Amino acid sequence: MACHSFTLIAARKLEALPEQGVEHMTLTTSAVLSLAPDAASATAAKGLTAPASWPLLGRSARAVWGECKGSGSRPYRTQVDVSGATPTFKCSCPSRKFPCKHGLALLLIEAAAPMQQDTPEPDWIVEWLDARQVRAERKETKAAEPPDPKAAIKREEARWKKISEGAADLDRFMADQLARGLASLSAQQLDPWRTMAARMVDAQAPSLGDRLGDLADVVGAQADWPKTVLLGFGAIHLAIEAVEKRASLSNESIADLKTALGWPITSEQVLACGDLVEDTWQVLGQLSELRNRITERRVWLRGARTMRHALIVDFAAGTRSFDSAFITGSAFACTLAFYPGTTPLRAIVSGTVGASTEGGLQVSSLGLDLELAAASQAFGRNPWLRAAPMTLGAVTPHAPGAGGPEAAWAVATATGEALPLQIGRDEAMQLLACSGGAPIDLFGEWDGSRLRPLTAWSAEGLLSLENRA
Amino acid sequence: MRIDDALVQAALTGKLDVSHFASQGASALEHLLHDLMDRADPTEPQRTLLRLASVLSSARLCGYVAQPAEPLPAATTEPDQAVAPDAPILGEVLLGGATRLHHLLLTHVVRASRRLPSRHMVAALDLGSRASDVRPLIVQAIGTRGRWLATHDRRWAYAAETYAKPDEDIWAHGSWAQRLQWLRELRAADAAAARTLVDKEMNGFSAEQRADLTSLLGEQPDAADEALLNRLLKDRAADVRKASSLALMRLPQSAYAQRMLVRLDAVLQSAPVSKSWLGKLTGKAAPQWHVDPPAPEKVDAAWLDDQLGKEKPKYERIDDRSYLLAELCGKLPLSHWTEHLQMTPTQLVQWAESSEWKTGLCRGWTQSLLDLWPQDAAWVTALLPHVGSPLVASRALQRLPTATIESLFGEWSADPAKFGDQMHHLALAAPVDSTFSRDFSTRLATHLASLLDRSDLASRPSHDLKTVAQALHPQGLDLLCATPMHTDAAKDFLGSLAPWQRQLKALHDYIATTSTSP
Repeated sequence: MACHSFTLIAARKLEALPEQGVEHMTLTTSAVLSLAPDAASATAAKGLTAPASWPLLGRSARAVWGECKGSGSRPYRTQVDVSGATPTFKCSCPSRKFPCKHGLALLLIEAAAPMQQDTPEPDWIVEWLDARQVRAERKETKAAEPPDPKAAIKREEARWKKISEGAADLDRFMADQLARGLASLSAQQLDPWRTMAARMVDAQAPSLGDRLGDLADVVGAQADWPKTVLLGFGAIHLAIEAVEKRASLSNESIADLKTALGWPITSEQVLACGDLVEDTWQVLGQLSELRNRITERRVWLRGARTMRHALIVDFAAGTRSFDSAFITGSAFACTLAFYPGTTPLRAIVSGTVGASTEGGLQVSSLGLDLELAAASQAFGRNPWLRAAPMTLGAVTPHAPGAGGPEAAWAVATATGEALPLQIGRDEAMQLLACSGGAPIDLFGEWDGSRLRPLTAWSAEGLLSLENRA
Repeated sequence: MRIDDALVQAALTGKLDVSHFASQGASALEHLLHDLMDRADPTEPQRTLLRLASVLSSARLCGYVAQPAEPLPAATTEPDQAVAPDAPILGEVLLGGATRLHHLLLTHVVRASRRLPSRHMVAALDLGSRASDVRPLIVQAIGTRGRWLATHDRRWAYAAETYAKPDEDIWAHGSWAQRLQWLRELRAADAAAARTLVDKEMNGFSAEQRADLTSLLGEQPDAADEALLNRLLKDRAADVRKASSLALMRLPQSAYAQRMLVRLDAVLQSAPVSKSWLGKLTGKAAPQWHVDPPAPEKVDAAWLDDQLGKEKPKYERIDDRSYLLAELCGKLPLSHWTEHLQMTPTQLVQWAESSEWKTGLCRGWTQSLLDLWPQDAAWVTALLPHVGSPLVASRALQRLPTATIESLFGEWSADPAKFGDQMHHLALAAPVDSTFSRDFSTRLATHLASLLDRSDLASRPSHDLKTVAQALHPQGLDLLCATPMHTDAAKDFLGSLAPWQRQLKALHDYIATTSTSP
C-alpha cells in the first residue's frame, strides 16, 4: 500500500473516534462490505454471519476474534486488529483473498451487534497483537532517524548514472527497430522488446520499460498501430533526451521526468516538500486497473473552494483491497499534499480527514474548447502526463454505428463538436442508458486523443463508471 | 503526403526519405519539423526520426481539435413514466439473483407502473438475453428508455423489437413484435377496428404471422369475431386452424362450441334411472354414464373441419379412440361436465377411474383446464394425481390464486415421507412472482423445522424442499433459519438458504417501502 497516511479517508465507513489518544473505529455493515476484495467474498461473508458458524467469538478493546467452522477438522482462527483507524486481518484459512470471508464475516457480526469489549484475549491473540506492536515501533524508530544529506546526494547521482546508461541502451534499441522497419515485425520479434522493457527495471527507470511493454502489446493489435508505436517511441525518446539534458531543466520538470521514469518518491518526502492545500475535496470519479497482478486505483478530486484538481493514486497487490474507500459524489475536508511537478495533480492526504458528506456535488465545466485548452496546457508543461481531468457539460453519447468499424463511441456537444471515448461495451451501454439520448454531464480522463468517462450525471443522478481492466 | 503519414511510412520501411518533406508546410508544427530535419545529423537518420516523433507525440497531446460530429440520432422522447427508487438490492438481484427473485422484483416494478432506474437497464437487458422466461417482464420494466437502449445491441433484439419510435406508422413499418403490440392495444381500445384490420389484411401475411394474429383475437374473443374465426378455421395453415379452434372454444355460444356439445352428447350415454325405493336408497337413482367414443375412421368430414379426428402422432401410445376422446374433451368447458352430469370434479375423476376411457377423459380435461383458463381449484386437485408431467401440473397449479393454493395444501403430514410428497406438489404450485402469505409461511416453517432435524428429509436429493423454502414469506424463512438444528444435513440445508434469506429480506423491504403508486 503506497500511502498509509490517507487511510482515514475511510471516515465515512470506519469513523475514527478519538478516545484516550487512540483512534478507534466504528464499524458499519456497508463499511465492512466495502473492504471485500470482490463481490463473491462479500456474499460469502454474509453467509457466515449466523452464530452457529462461530463456536467461539471474543472482543477486547483492541481486537475481535473468533473460530469459524470450515471444511477442515479444526476451525479457522480469525482475528482482526481494530485498534487503529483501519482494521488489520489475519486468518488461518487457506484463502488467497484478503481479507478473507471469515475476517469480513467477523466484522459484519461486530457491526450488526457490537460485543462487550471485556473478553480476556487468548494467547494467540496476545502474541499476534504484541508482535504487530513491536514491528510498528521498530518502523517508527527507523523513520525518526535523521537522513544523511551527503549519502542521499550520492545515492541520487548513482541512480542518474544507472538511468542514463539504461536510457542510452533503450534509445539505441528503438533506433535499431526503426532501422529494420516496423513493417517487418512479427510476434516472435517482440520478445526482445519485452526483454528490453524488463531491463529498464534494472536500470531503475521501470516506467520507461512499462511504456515499451505497452507498445509491444499494441503491435498488430489495432489498425493504426505503426503510428501509435512511432509516437510512443517519440515520447520515450523525449524522456531519454531529458535525462541527457537534465541539468538545464527546472526542479518541477525534473520532478515530472522522475515520475515519467518511475523514480519513487516517498509519502514522507511529499509531505515534507509538497504543496499543501486545505479544502473540501469532492470525489469526481475513480477507476481501478489491474496490471501485472497489481491493482492501481486512481481517484480524482476537486477542491470546492480552490477548484483545483487532485489525483490520489494507490495500489493493492493481488486480491487485497484498498485501505480506504472513496465514494464518488461525496466530499470530505482535509489537507492534500501535492507531488512536485509542473502540473501538480497527484496528491496524498496530510493529517486527518473530516467527516464525509454525500451529494451536493456541482458539476462545473469550462466548456469543451476551454477544457481542451486547459488539458493541452497541462500536456505542454508535462509531456509525460498520462491523463488530464476533463469535465464536460451537456454532451450526448454517440454510438459508433454509422461510422463503420473504425468509428468509436463519442460524446458531442449541442453544437456538434465530438470527442472520441475510450470505453468498453458495458460502460458505453450504461452511459447510453443514463443519457437516454438526452444531454448529460460527464467527467473523465483525457489522454490527448480520447476521453475515458468515469462519472456521468443525468436527471436520475450520478452514474459511476468504475472500470476494472 | 502529410508529414505525420510520411514519418509513419519511414518507420515502417526503415528509410527516412528527406524528399518526402521537400514541400514546406504551412503549419507551425510542420515548420518546426522541417527545421529539425535541416539541423539533423544525416548519419543518424533513426535518431532524427525519433526526435521528430517526440515532437509529433507532444503536438498530438496538446493540439487536439474536436471533430464535427455526424447529426445526432433521434433521441427518445420518454412518456411520463416514474422511475422506481434505486437501491443496492436491485443490482444484486438483476446481476446474480435467483429466478424467483427476478420475478418478484420485476413484477413489483411493473405493477407499480414504474420503470427500472437507468443504471440497472444494462443488467436487466443482459438478464433477458440469458433467461427467456423473464423477457416479457423485462420489456415492461425497462420502459421506453430501456427499449430504446435495446436497439443499440443485437443481443437485446427481443426488447428492441418492442421499441416503437414516436410518430411512426407502426402497423405499416414496425417489426412484427411492434405490430402485434400495436394491434393488441388497438384491440383493447376498439375490438371491431382490430378485427376489421385483421380480416382485411390477413391474406398478406405468412402462416406463422396469421397464427399469431388469430391467437391475438383468441386472447379475448367476442361473439362478433365468430364469423372471421370460422373462416380462419378453414385456413390453409394448420397452426391458424388450431388457433382459430381454440378461440372458438372460448366462445361458449358459438356454433363451433355447440357442435362440440352435440358430439359429446353422442359419445356420452346414460343408463336408465332406477326409480325403486331400493335404488334411491343405494344411490342408483342417479343416471349411470358411459362413454363410447367413435373410431377415427368412422367420423365424418365435419369432425375433421373442426380439428377433430386427425391422424394420431406416431409417438402417442394411447389408442385411437381414446386419443379422439381426449381431443373432444379438450375442446369443451369443464363446467359442462359438472353441470350436465351433476357430479363434482372429484366424483367425475373417480367415475373416469372406473372407466376404460380414463386416460382419454383425464387428458382431455387437463387440456381444457390449460386452454380455457378456468381457475377451478376443485378441478386442479382432482386431476393432479393424473397429470403425468410436472410441467403441466405446475402450469395448472400456478393458474390458481396463492390463497387457494394455501387452502389446498394447508394441512401437512407428520410422516416425513408423506410430507415430502406434499412438498412436491407445493413446490409445483409455489407462486413465481410472490411469496406465500406470512401466516401460511410461519405455520409451514414451524412444521418444516420440526421435521427437518428428526428425519432424513433434508438429506433427500430433492429440489422440492428448497423451492418451497424459497417461496416462504421472509418472516417464515427467518423463523425456519433461526431454528437450532443438530444434524449436519439440516444445518447444511439451512446454511444453503442463508444467501437467499438475506436477498429476499432486502427485496421484501424494498417492495414494502416502494409499493405506493407514483
